[in-house]
Amino acid sequence: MFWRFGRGVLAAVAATAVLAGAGTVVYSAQPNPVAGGPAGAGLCSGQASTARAAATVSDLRAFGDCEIGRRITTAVSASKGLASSDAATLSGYIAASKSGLTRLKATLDAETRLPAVRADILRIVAGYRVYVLVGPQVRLTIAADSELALKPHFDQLAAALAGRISAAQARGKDIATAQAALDAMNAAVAAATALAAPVRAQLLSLSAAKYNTGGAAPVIRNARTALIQARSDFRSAAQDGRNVLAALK
Amino acid sequence: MTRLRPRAVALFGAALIVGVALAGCGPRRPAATSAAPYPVYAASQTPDPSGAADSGSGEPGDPSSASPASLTSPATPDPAASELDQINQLINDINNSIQDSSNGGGE
Repeated sequence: MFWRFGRGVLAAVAATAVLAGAGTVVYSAQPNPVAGGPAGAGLCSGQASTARAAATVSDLRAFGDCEIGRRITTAVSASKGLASSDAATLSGYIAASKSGLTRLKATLDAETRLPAVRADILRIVAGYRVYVLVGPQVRLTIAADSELALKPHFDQLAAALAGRISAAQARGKDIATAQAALDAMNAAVAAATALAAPVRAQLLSLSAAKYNTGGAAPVIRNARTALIQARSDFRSAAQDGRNVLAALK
Repeated sequence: MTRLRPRAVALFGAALIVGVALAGCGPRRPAATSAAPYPVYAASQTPDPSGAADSGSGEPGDPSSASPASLTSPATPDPAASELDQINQLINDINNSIQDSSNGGGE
């Protein structure tokens, strides 16, 4: 009975997923107001519809202004609470995107001819890559810095645990399980650190130009994969640390 | 009859006051060991000059057989366990950064 119910739930979830997927396909099948430009998602969907229908200078300008505005908001939001060791570099990237987009808005607002407006709208995406490059670059660099900052915590913990194991051994306690757990912790920390260490430099070397030639997307994808694995290794290491404490009780 | 009634009431009231006063002055439990602000040693015992421990008589129920620290101090958190808790919190924060990085924003 439970199995039948479970299958029914699974079927309902699958059907919902198919419907949701179909909805996404329909939405993304809408042509961009300017081919190769922003898609007009979410906040700017109304301006995108108007620009698609009429494509006058003022409609396209309103659409472009909206897309610039939401990117500036995203960039400002990304800079809040930036506290990693690369905060200054990342703040520089965000400030460059913000000031560049602000200049682009002034240029766009002064345009009077359709070809010039279309060219400006293309630059909103290709010139800055706020969502697919700058955002992931900032968040993943913060993640990499945060993961590397775990290393000193684990080093301190490893020293304390090694001391406790030695003390337990001196009292004649069997320390084999505790020592094995400590070795596993140190190995997991080493593996995680090796994964996270190169990510920062790889991410900070990326640019919108590199993204446009196809060189940045794989770097971001691989960085995310490496950081997820490193986080998993650190989590295992923490569990190993708890296992040491449990074995010494 | 009418003259006796106020006297009876006065006697009853006085008895009540004396009774309440005596109940308030009765012996208190537990006795002196827990009320003393300093270790109390038996006449045959010599205080440990290092102050490290007071072994007491070792009899079950003897208040002096338990160390004063175990009676009064809250349990100290294990520094290694605290470090692990902090590490777990930092790992959770990393989760958020990685998840935020996958928002394409419709570009």
